[in-house]
Amino acid sequence: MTTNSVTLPRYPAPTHLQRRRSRTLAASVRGWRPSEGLLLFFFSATAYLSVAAEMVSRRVIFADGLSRVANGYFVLFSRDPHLPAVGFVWNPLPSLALLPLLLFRGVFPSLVRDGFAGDIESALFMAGTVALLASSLARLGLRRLPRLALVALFALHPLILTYAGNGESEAALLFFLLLAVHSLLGWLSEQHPGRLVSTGLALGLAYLSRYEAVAPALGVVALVAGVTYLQTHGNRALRVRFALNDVALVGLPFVFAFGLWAVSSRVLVHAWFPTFSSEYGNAAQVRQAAGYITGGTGSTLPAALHYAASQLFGLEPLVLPLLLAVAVLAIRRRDWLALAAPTVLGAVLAFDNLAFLAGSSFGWLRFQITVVPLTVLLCGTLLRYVPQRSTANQGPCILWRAVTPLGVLALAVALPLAGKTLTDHSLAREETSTMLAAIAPQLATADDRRHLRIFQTEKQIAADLDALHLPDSSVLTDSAYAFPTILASQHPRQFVITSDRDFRSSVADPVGRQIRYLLVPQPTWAPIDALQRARPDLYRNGGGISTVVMTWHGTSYNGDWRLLKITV
Amino acid sequence: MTSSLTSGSAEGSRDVADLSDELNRLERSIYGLRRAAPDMSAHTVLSRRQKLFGLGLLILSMGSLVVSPFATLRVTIGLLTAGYTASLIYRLLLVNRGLRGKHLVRVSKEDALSLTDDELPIYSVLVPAYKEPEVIAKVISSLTALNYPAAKLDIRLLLEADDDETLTAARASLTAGAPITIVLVPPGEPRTKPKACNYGLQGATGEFVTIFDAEDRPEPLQLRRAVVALRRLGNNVACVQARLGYFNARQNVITKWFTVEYANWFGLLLPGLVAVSAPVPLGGTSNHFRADLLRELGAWDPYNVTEDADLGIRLARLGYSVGVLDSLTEEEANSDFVNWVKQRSRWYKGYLQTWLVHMRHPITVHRELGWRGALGLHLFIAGTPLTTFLNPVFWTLCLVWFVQQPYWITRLFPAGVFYLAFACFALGNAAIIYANLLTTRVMREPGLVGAALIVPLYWVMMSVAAAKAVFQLIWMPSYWEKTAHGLHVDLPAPVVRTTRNPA
Repeated sequence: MTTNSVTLPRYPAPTHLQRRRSRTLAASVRGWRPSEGLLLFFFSATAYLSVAAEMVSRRVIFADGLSRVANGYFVLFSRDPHLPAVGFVWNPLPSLALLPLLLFRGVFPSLVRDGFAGDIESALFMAGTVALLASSLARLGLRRLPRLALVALFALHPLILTYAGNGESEAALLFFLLLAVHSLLGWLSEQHPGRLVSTGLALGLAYLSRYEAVAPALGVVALVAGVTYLQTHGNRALRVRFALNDVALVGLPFVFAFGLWAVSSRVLVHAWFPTFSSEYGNAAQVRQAAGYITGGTGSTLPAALHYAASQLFGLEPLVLPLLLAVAVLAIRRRDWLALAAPTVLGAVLAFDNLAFLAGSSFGWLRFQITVVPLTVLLCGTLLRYVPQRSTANQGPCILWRAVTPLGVLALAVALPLAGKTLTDHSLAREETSTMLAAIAPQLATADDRRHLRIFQTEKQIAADLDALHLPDSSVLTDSAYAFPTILASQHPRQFVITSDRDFRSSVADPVGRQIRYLLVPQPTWAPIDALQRARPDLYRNGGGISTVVMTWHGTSYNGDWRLLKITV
Repeated sequence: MTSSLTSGSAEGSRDVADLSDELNRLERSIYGLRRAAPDMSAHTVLSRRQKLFGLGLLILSMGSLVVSPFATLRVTIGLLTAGYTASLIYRLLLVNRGLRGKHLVRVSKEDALSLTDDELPIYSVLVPAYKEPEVIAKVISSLTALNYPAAKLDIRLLLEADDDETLTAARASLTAGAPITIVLVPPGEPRTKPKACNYGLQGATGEFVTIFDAEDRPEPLQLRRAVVALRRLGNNVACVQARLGYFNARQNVITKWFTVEYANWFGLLLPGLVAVSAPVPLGGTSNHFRADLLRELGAWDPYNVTEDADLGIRLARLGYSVGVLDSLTEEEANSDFVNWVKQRSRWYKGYLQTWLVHMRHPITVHRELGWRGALGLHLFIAGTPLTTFLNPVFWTLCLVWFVQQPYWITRLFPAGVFYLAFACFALGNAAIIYANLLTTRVMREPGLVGAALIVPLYWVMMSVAAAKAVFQLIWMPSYWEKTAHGLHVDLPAPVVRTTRNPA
């Protein structure tokens, strides 16, 4: 291609003289109002926030959600406030996005103490997901009624309701994945390079939320390369060059996010991927909990496969038939748009399930969460193939009238079934006890109810320590376990914690660093507590440098804690 | 002094009246703007008040540097980082707005061709050339390739009267009947392109007027498109700027970078400026004006080395707007490092000069441009050379930090500034590379992806040029002043309108 053929930009766009509105999209989406997304966001945010507030009042706290809040809190309010205190084991965006909210901790202590800031964040992300799902269905050409029905089937899905206000990072991941789906649908339908930018940014941000986003990033890069190569007119070399340019546009934000995170980790904690290499990371946790995992999910590959399938189909029984139907129809119609959702959401699902089958994942139910939007979008894609108006009389087509409610109804079956799955102790190992105890106490066992006492001990420890009115830097503790105590304390600067830049030297020489107390968890439930790894006898007898001054008994599934006073 | 080959007038018979007319014209082209609106002209780099202000600032900062060096440096670094960040964000915002494609003025081929000869106005084309005998033949062929009736074309080749080589080449290339007039600009300082253009403009007969450089290859329909665009846009739009590109993009890596940069500039950034209602710095050629308005507003400032950018700001201040026309003029990209640095440093110096000229009365300018326009003036016109100038400073600091993490850097960058600077370094550089990749895609030039990816090397060249520009501006501020004296003739000042457009 020579410079002579430069034209810019090539897509149709009105000048400010001819204020014709672009009809390419609007024409295909009848009934769409820009305010629909905003209204959906507003209503679902209100609903999710109310549910979250109610859950907090029933003392529901999800540990991973609270730990995300803690990571953000350490950045601002720890003894050594600095950005890298956000930690490098878990991807940072969910914690960093909390920073502005955490500033209000003085006015609403619950934001920090009960992790409500995290709940607000996940409620907003999930509400955004709802709005993006509606807009994506609109881009697929679905009319308002079936569109809203499908959106409702997503928004009211029990798993979505659970994760829409519990502070965990699933909502952020779903939000960015749906943003990627939404932008990709836009690109597939009108090929504006700007859409590749938003797709790429969404994937990069998704990676900064959860590392599963590696899979959709690779998937989307492959899809974009293929589509551009096939759809560009010209010789092979030119097609390859265009494909490369598009791949660079859609892939670089992800590569940048990936590289930035890896290099920051390398520079600040001397490991490229602490999630896999750190003793606090996922790999180590899975190793330590191997017995627990295989005990719950089966130790053989067929058993694990059966387990994952039960989770998946327990959440969305129709996903497989829908996928097959869409595949057949999309291929027959050469419909590129059908590829967006399976590429983005299917990749995450495949990644999480393969990781589980390979024995490097806990196999939590939440790892299957992308199946919910995937199924809804597949259903939307299928409905797109049903003629909406008969050619004969301009009225709605009979087939459309018959098939659409059927499709929506069939999908609605998922809701009660998912409710059942969520109350199944073996399939929803993380959620069942807490949710049963909070929502249906009459069905909950005594063991389930113990889950609502989570972190009660830690709050007590915080109150007792605050009562000692210790100066700054008095209590050395590993915040990987003690974070609920630190969040509940009125005086977080009394703690020397894992993210402090002098933590290692303080663990090596607490006396020399003028530490006065050590706060240590019982080693049986906290095998990698940094203090006890340095002095294995610490919990039992004070490790020769301290004596036990206080012991708290665990009220929930977490174990006991001891406060040791330095005696040398 | 007009020697038209078609009329074959003799040059030897100059009488006193001719001479006086010639001096009159020369006088106007040099002193027109300066007399009418001294504060709009760059004949001095700094106004008296600016000098006092600068001196005050210098004394103040020296004083505080002595009293509290680290605090002073911290504040300075904080301010520079904030300004840098703002300029970066502004640029990305412009790319985003430009990408929507709404503010590139498009005139279809059909619309351009539908105008009959009678409907077309007389169009003046100014082609200044100095010591370029080798390109004269080419310029004549590309100008005759313009799709515009010869009877309505008034092409003026502006040559310096003592530039014999070019003059000979031009005379040899001109065929009888071509609508090209050679205008001899009397020799003398400042020997600048804007002076030649001002001189040529005075005899121009067109309703519209444009400038092409000697080596330019304008798209043949450009004049027709400009006519349609300017008539459609209404009198409030003083000028449409056509896009500039390069015909030798693939010559070497410098021309590739230059091509990507220009595509980004004219395809995304300038339409972005139009979108946010900020003043548009015009490019050196292919800007199409309403001739009467251009004369009325003082035409080009012969003392400004980027008179085009300056004119764009002046138009905005006087209440006129500029459109970016979707028609391409191909130029020759500078393919030689040393030449490139010279050209670029002139542009950067000119941008700084332009900013200083328009900052002589900051409050008035802010009132005239509005906050959005003023933001563009600061972040784009001054921001472009200044961020480029600062780049190596921040890159070096970053490098030192990564290698050594010395304590003095920790002291210079308080946490907030450090994170901002780091974000600029990591995110900002990546975002600009990414914007270049977006440009190659939007302009359908995927072959330039490789050059776009290694564009940081180009930034090093830009920084060299920016350093040269700043150095020149500081140490040779009288450079333009000195060149101004030679031809001073006392004549009454021409009338130039410098009040705001009431529309």
